[in-house]
Amino acid sequence: MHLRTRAIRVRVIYSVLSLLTCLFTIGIVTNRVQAADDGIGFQVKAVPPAQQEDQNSNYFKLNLAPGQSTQMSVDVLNETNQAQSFRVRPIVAVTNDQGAIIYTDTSKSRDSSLKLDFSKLGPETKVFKVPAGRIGRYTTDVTVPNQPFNGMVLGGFFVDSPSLNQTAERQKRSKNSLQLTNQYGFAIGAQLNVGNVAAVKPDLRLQVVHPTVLDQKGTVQGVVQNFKANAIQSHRLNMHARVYKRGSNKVLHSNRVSNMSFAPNSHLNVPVSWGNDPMAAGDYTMKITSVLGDKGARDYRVWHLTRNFTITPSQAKRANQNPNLKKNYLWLIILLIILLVLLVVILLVYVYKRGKRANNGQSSTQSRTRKR
Amino acid sequence: MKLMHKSFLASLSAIFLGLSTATLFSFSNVQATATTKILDDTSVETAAPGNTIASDAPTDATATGTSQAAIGFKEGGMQVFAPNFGFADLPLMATDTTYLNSDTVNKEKIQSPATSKYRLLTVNDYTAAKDWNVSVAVGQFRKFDKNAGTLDNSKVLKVSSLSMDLSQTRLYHGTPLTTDDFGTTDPNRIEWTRAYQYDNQDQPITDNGKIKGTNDVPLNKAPWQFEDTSDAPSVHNVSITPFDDSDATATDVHNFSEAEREPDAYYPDWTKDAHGDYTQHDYTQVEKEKHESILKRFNGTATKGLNGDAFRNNFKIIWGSDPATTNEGQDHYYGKGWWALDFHSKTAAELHVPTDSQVEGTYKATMYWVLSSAPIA
Repeated sequence: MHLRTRAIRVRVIYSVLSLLTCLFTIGIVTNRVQAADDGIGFQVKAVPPAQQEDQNSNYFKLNLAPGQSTQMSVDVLNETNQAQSFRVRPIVAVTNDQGAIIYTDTSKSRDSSLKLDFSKLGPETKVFKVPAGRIGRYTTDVTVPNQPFNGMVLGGFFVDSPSLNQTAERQKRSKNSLQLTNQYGFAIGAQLNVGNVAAVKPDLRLQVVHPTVLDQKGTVQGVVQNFKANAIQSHRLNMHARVYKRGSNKVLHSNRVSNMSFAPNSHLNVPVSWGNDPMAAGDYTMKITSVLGDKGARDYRVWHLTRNFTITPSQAKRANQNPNLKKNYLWLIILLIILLVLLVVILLVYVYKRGKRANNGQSSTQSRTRKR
Repeated sequence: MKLMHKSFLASLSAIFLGLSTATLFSFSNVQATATTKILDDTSVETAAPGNTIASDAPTDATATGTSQAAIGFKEGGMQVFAPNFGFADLPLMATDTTYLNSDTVNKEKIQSPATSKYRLLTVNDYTAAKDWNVSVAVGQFRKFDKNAGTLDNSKVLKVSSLSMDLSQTRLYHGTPLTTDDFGTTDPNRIEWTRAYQYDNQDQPITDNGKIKGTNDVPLNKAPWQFEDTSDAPSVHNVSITPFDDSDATATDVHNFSEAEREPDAYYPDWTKDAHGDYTQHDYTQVEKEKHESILKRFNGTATKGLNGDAFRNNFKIIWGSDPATTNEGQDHYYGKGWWALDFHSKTAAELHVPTDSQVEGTYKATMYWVLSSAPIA
């Protein structure tokens, strides 16, 4: 009896140990693959049209003549175990303020120099459902208008999932905290070379300069535009922006931005910060020297961009909300000096008048004495 | 008369004395402000949350919360895995407010969790995408009303920026796990084979920014190499300022018809170059598609006051690849690998909240991760 009980105990212990071993092993395996399994739940892939030379790329890049059409497709694989909605939006490539060509701009604002808008060449925004584990294909015709045009049209498709985004938003989190919910998007670029692209050289101009507040600091931003239908690629553009009091040669503030690219027909802001110095109302000049490539390079080019601008008192007041602003006590010092000078003058006048009166008094006393 | 003179002089002296006192008082205010500023700065620099938070609060001032992460290409298509910076359970937003009112608490910088093993930013460059970028943007932190279960658009936490110091990350390289003796690989299972620590030493960098990926490189302490190391220490920090994304709306939902939906049979084509047979026996084709991943230079440190600005300016590229450049005498890694950035350091990611805007509560923001595959960059 005793032995039997013991045997049962041993069996139970073995069973528990085996179970724990299994669980432990599963845990290790799960850990090992976790990095790959916890993705966002979908993939996207470009399906290049037949005209595209490089069929392996995950973007679109092809030559089209005015009036010519092509078909572009984007596949979306739903890796979750539920049907999900996906959204594909045509976009136009723009340049961010660091000088990077980005394909994430889903806004409707467009650069004033843009003639051929990729999002208006046929593609439309579509939201569609894809069953679990299946692929949805978004297909669109892209047609270059039949009108004379040489240059690069740069855009693409932005893909995200509204339903997965909503799921992420609903995730339960701890209270009293700062919570960041991750949402994901894919951007697939599309480059259309229309006509003689090489004949079109990128060109820059300084459109406008305006004061603003960046990072709580008074700043002026020069809006530099590449108004030609060709891009500056491979981070080969450097800019040096300076701000002068109008008519002066002394640089007040400056900023350098290096290793920039520039999308065709786009613009970016070049900021020049006042730092913790107060911004004063008045007339100023911004000069930006932009250098493309190295000296000796075939496409080496330098732009000297200049624009006058004015900071109004209200703009200066708004810009000077910086809590770390250096206080300007010059006015107080000037006031003190004026008061000091006034005091000295008053004292001098007083002493002079007093002396004069004393002299007058003395001379009248003397004359009275003489008369006597 | 003499009395009058004396009183006049006394008045003048009084005015002057008054002015001098006022001036001195003004300057002493200036001094006080400056001191406060210095104290603020100091508290930022010497954040020692363990000393400042309540005894029942976590001593790791940073956060608990898991960090699941990454962004990248998965075999065949593109896939995203992004870090989940869990800034949860922070002293700043903890329920015990005693230290919220303390002037000595560092409230300016909130650090990301340091311990999570899943804080990875991962890229799988299986595809032949020659240029990919990872862009990040962050929306506004809006107060969460737990009773209504909604976000209050009128209560926005003023966050100056979320910054990521990529020099405090660690770079990993992984390969698909081999599942049998025949070299068959599973593209969904990663085996991390190499790790790199950013090493900001004064050493000549001559190979145009490629990751030195020879088999002889030790697992740790291999330097990352940037295209331009002269400014690498200052340019790899990325700050992202929250922007107003409250107007983001979805458009109508349409169902794809059966005709438009592709059968699963299409999918294997995506994965064919991941199978062992393909990689082992058709070197020509692999060679044709190969490319290498490098850490691209990061595009600047400027923080932006982006509220209300155009959406496009909010995205910062934090990572990317460049097309392969061969014949440089380097044994670079080519495709079929995973690259991951591990935000292992406490201060690798920081959220900056000005002291005057800290109001207790739960705030939620959305972080947008975008993986781009583009013909030009």
